[in-house]
Amino acid sequence: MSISEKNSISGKLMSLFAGCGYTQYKMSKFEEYELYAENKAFLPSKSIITFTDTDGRLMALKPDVTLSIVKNFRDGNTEKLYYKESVYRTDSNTSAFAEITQAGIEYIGDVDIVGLSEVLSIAQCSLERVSAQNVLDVSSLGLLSALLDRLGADGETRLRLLHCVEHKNVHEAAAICDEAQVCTENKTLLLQIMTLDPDPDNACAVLCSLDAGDGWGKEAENFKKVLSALDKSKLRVDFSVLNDTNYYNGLVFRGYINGVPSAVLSGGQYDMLMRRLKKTSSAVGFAVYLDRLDVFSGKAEAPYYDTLVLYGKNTDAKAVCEIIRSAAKSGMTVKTSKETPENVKYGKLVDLR
Amino acid sequence: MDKGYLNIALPKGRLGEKVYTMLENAGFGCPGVMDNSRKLIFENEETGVRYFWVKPSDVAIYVERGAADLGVCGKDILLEYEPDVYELLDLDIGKCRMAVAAPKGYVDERDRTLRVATKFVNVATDHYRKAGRQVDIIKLNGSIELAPILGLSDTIVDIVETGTTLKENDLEVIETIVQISARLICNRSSYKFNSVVINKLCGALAQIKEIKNDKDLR
Repeated sequence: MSISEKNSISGKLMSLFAGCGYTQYKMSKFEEYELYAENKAFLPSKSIITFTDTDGRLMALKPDVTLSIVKNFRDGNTEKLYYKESVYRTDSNTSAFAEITQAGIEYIGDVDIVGLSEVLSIAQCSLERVSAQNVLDVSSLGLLSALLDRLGADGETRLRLLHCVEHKNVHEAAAICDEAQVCTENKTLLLQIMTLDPDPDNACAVLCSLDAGDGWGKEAENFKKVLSALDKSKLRVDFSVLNDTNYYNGLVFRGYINGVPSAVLSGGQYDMLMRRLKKTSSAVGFAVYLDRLDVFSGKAEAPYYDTLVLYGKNTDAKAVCEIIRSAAKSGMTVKTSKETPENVKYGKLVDLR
Repeated sequence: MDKGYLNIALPKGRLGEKVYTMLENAGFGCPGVMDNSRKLIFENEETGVRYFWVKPSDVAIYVERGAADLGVCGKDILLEYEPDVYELLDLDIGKCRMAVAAPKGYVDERDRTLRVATKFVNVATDHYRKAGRQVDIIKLNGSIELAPILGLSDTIVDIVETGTTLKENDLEVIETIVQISARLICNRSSYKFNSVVINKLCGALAQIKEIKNDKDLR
């Protein structure tokens, strides 16, 4: 995907968000380090670029957008915000810092079933604007937590089971249940959730028919209500979508585009983060990872210019500048060069050598 | 990622050959895969699968990055590198264990830092962290057994299959960390868009595995 296409995707997303009544949120590239140090588990990468400001405060290049937005939110309001920002994180493969561009929305305040459905619906529209071949996977941490509570799985066992759920590792989940002496009925329930038919109608029918712990029935009903408001043709229920339960609760979701090896969209309800930052409101949001779209469509095309101007030692600079001015005025593109450049396409050639 | 075919990364060597036989028996064969040639990629238009042989430790990278939709690699690789992939099936082949080994008669002095030589830095670090033991991990890329013999380390953390290499070097297993076997792994995104064929292949492999296990029991 070329830079212009990527820009146009981010442009399409921004216009989608604005068109849905969200207001653009601009933020500084850095924040006080303390905010991130206290909420490191919320961040996808734990390393943060820090520096000391002129007044001695320890600052950080922003590794995340949501934390900054939540920090500045005041309870009592409902805010619908969108952003396109760079964040600075370590790359899991190279362990080196990288600048990553994200575009996304945050819905903070009184988030109800309609609000949740709205955000998921915008997530689906965002994927659609990137490619028609997309899928949105949705899971419920509320349901999963209720089930793990029923299993009596805590501490290390809970973490190991969550790891298995995240990786669709049914064989090891079964072994851990046996090891932890989970009863057959509860073990079957867990394995049933891990191998659930992803079709939203089928999945919701199963989930609503189960009784798998305190609060399960209400969670399942709410889950069904949200999903029934969405375009089901590209929606799947998949409990392997997980986020840190210390920060996220309720619905979590991830979007995929055919041809991109990892998720391009990630989001969820993060009421627990709100509580940690001493806010009483609820919140939901998602981000689209624009950089991951780089691998979307293979070969880059040679850049095209309406006019290619070749000039030499004795060319009058005025003549070159006149062509540039004229092109700029008429909205045309122009490239100047001393030699015919390789891998460049052009419409008209003006040779001033 | 070519969407016309289901791309499967096989680990070069004996394990890969066993895996391919299972896949062939499951109805996903491809002519030429087992030929001893320098060809790297094999396609079967009829079954819609494309195989390629890669270094065993690279399989997870091919799958995580989407160059392969599916792959087979040892649990040791998954534990060490923690690739973000689905682990769909334990194939019950290539069985061995990740273990701590030391020279025969070794006595652990718990009042000093333990020196551990290994290829599997993350697995070893995690194991000793859980045990609350302070360790000095020494990363080696091969001939791990040499380290305690030459005094480079007190113990080693390595894969043990039959234990013959350990025995020949006067070493013995003092603790098993985890059982290892070959796993079928899948790229997360590929699973979303090819779930029908992937689940079909997975189900067929599970059946082959059951038949094999039944035979072994008899």
